[in-house]
Amino acid sequence: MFDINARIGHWPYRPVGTVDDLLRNMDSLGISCACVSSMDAIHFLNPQDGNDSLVAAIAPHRDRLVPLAVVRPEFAGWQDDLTRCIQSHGMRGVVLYPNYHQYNLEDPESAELGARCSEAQIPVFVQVGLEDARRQFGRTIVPEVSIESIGAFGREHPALRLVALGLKFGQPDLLRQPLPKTFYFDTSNYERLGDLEFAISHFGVDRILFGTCAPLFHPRANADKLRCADLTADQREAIGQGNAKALFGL
Amino acid sequence: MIIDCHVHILSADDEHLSEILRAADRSGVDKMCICSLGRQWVEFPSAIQLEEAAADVRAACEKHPDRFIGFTYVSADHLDASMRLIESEIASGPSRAVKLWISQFADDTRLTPIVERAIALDVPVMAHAWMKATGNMTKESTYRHVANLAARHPRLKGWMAHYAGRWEETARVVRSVPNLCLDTSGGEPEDGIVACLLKHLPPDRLFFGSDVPGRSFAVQMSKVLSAGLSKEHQSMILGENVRRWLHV
Repeated sequence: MFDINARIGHWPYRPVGTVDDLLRNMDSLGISCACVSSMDAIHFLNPQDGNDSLVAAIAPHRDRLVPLAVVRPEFAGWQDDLTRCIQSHGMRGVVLYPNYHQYNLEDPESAELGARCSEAQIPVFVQVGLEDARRQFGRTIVPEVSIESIGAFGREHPALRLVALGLKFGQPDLLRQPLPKTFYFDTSNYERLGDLEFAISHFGVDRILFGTCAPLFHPRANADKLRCADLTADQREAIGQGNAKALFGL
Repeated sequence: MIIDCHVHILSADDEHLSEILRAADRSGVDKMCICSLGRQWVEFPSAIQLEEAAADVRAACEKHPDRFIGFTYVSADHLDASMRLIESEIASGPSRAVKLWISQFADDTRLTPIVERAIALDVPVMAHAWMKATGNMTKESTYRHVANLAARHPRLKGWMAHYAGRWEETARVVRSVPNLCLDTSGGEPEDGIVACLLKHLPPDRLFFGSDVPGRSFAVQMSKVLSAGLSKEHQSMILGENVRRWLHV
């Protein structure tokens, strides 16, 4: 399997697993590759500090861990950071947190980022939320990213490969149509009785990517979700890894 | 045997029940404790809605007696109707537990007759609980309400649903209330939940539950399977504990 939604780093509100824990869980669950981004970069004022340390942390594991850059398009000099992440660090995509970093996908800076990533042919991942609002630290409740704004961003950049991470059951409907063919969402927080079966029938198997949201979620949750769903072998293969490989041109 | 202790049915329609059973089969769930919160979920149900919920649970249990274990939804707002349902559905029927939701706090003293009857019948009282950073609903219990209930009635088999959401704190609150167990149903599959609960509670006080259909069997079971438990403790939490409590 190919996990397109994992992170490495610290989380301010509870202890989480390390890169060794991630690799051990990948081994036990049959996950051969994982996209990883810096979790520190979510809370660092300058996310590039997190991107730089991520590359060092995963250096011995580049055969299995695919690094993604966390970019904050309202932070001065982000264009240089993006170039450094792609050209020097070999990062294969960009992760956005409009809610944690307090900007909107409708902002001109976001449009510039979308255009640059389209031109560079690298995918953009938008994380809708990372924690159930009911479970967040009361002083700093972070709302989810507007689902409608993610759909609109995709329509604004039809050549961009865009992935919504952490959509919950029912939320893909809020993206509105038409969605570009290059629009995807992951399994990580998509949970309900018959969840994946419904998603395939409504959105097509080609749009769905296996994601775990590790280390905040244990990756077993999504591995078992995929294993236990009522899918054909071809559908399981596509969600489990085929779609992710196509996304990265592997 | 794996018993999911927290499943909701939305009706007793064959198609709905079959969808639940097929998913349970694929996830290795042998039996399910089912309750109904009515065909429309409202904070303050009428007596008629409680009776309708009980009828759906009874019908589902009669259709699949080898798979479903019924729980009876009651409310302090309708004490007479609730007591009648306990007699018809538990004392004389197939249900094995009382279910409280959000129409009263769990330590509301109006519940005393219900609790005393549950003790006499040797059936648990499962109480919904959440501790929400975003604010609870009007009469939605926190872990403290449920702990108060169990502490006030030491012979009660008390049962707190959803580990009240805030798993880092709940086990600390309830560890001094030995007649209170927690179920692991609902919420996101955050890493470390069961291991954290077991820092403070013995493994015989945890029950595996899913909160299907709002959640999935496989995802919610992963909370237990990923906790690095011994086979013995895993088996207890996945079904043996609740089987023993319910005498099934």
